[in-house]
Amino acid sequence: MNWFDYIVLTGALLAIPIYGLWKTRHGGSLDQYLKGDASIKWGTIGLSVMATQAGPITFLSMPGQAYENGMAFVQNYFGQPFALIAVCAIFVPIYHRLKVYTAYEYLGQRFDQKTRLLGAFLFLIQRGLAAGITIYAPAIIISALLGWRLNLTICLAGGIVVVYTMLGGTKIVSITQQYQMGVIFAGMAAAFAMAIYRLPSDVSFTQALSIAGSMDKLEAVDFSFDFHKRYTFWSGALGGFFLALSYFGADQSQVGRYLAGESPTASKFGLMFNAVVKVPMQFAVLLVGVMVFVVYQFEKPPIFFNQPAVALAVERGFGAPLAAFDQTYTEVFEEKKAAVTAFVKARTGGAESEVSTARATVQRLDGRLQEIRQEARAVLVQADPNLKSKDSDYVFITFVLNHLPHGLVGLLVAVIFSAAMSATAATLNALGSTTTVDFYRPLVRPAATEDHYLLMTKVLTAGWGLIAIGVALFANFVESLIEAGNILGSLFYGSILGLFLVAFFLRSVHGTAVFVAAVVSQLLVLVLFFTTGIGYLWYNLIGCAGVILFGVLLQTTLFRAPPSEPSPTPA
Amino acid sequence: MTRTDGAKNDGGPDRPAGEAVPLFGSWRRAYAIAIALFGVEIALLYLFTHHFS
Repeated sequence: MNWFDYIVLTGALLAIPIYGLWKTRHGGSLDQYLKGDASIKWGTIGLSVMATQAGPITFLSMPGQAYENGMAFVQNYFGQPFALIAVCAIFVPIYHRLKVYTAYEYLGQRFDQKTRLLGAFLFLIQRGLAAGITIYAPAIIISALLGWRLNLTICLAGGIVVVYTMLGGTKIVSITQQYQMGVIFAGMAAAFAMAIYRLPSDVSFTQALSIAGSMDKLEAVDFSFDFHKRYTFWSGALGGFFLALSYFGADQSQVGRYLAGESPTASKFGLMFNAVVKVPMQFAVLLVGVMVFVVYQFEKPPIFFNQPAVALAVERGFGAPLAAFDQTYTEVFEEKKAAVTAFVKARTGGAESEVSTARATVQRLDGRLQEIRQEARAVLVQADPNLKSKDSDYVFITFVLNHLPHGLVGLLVAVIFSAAMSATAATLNALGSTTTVDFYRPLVRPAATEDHYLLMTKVLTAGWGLIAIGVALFANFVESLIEAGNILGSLFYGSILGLFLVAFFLRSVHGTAVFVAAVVSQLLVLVLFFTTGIGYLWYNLIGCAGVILFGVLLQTTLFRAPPSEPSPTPA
Repeated sequence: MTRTDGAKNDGGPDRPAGEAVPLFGSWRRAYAIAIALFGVEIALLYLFTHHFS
């Protein structure tokens, strides 16, 4: 990065919060701080919901995911449109009608205080840790590649977001998120255009797609019922539905976004916008990764994208074996490049048999390259047994740093940090609101003034920000950026969703039964997580089903209500 | 809605289908259009997959 990149980066990161602070300078009421004065239009809500969900992982890791495993990941979002429709039809009308500030207030009104506190507590644990990962994830990669000090990167990125979220509340989160999404869209479009520009002049966009397709990178939909496959239409539609229903219906970082709508209709339109746009957006992000993959069919990629790990291995005396692998890798790469060129020629005018032969050669050589990479990785692990990060997390940012012109490099680094800031801002806002509304107000100071609650929400928002920065400073457990967030969410979302589904649909189940059921289910999920190897997405279902089943069971046995007196006959 | 279990608030889902919605007439129609658009997206992705694989 040069001075021009730093100007673009600093400008993009600072200008948006400063503008947001200026726009919200007159706000002073608790209602405005917590719900944006319920004045936000549907378009802003739609972008805000999208920015909160996306986070840095979407734009840093997902192109790398496509580079390694193709487009199949898009299927993870196939349950989301149905979940968002369910949220619009069931959750939004209730929240607006009851005029709640947080989702957990509803649990208090439907059940009792302890169930409300349990739902809020589970949310606070999960999101408090997740906020730290959201700050840590981009900082660890970008600081390693650019030689920045990790702790300083975390404190600067975290510090900016803590300050503006604390000062501006919900409204500034929504305002900044829409402009941060603008930066993100512009940056990703520029990266996509540059990837196409970097293709050889005789390779068209369609031919680039054919190359990717021949190496199984474009399988976006798989209707097979193979349960061993990680991504299929059915796993995405069913598993993704429960995950999205819990996330959008019961996670205050999202509920807070759409409760800021000027009306229930604005909230629903914002969510419906995401129902329609989410899958195409993820497809576009993955397609950027696929184009990067095609570029690296003609330009030799590093054998391992995590260059700091390679440098460490060389420093520890593993330079010779890595150099040997690199030489073999280069030879096979040149052979494959010739095979890819032959494949493109065969596609443009050759016979079908010629195309099949060329494709088989490309696939064989690509398999050989993957084997060499695995062997090289084994050397890296030998050099650093603590090597945890996945190489795919480094693919996109390596492409950006090596292939984009100055100015755009700064813009793309701004994309990653903007995504981190927008997701963190929503989370901190939700954590501060929930702690004040669900814990401080009912338990500590039930009869204080609105000004006092406003001050406390700001203090608690800042407090959660400091905790998130602390988690980020001490985090060294992230194996993969995508998986870390999903695992953490899956451990807690099931129980939280179970509470809400019982509240909506099982009217005969009361507070104590559902409270005990949620505690037991949450403990069950944690025990299973630490003692078995069950795939993490299943915990959403186990936690949710546990609350429902135990809740009904306990209500009909231990906590059965005494028979009520017959209701008076209507006159 | 009428509660029968003695809880503090009914909190059940309301009936969005009857609510007037700009552009779409009713929420039921809006949801149907969203699902139809999603179906088109899946069909396009399926065609994309088969064309280039």
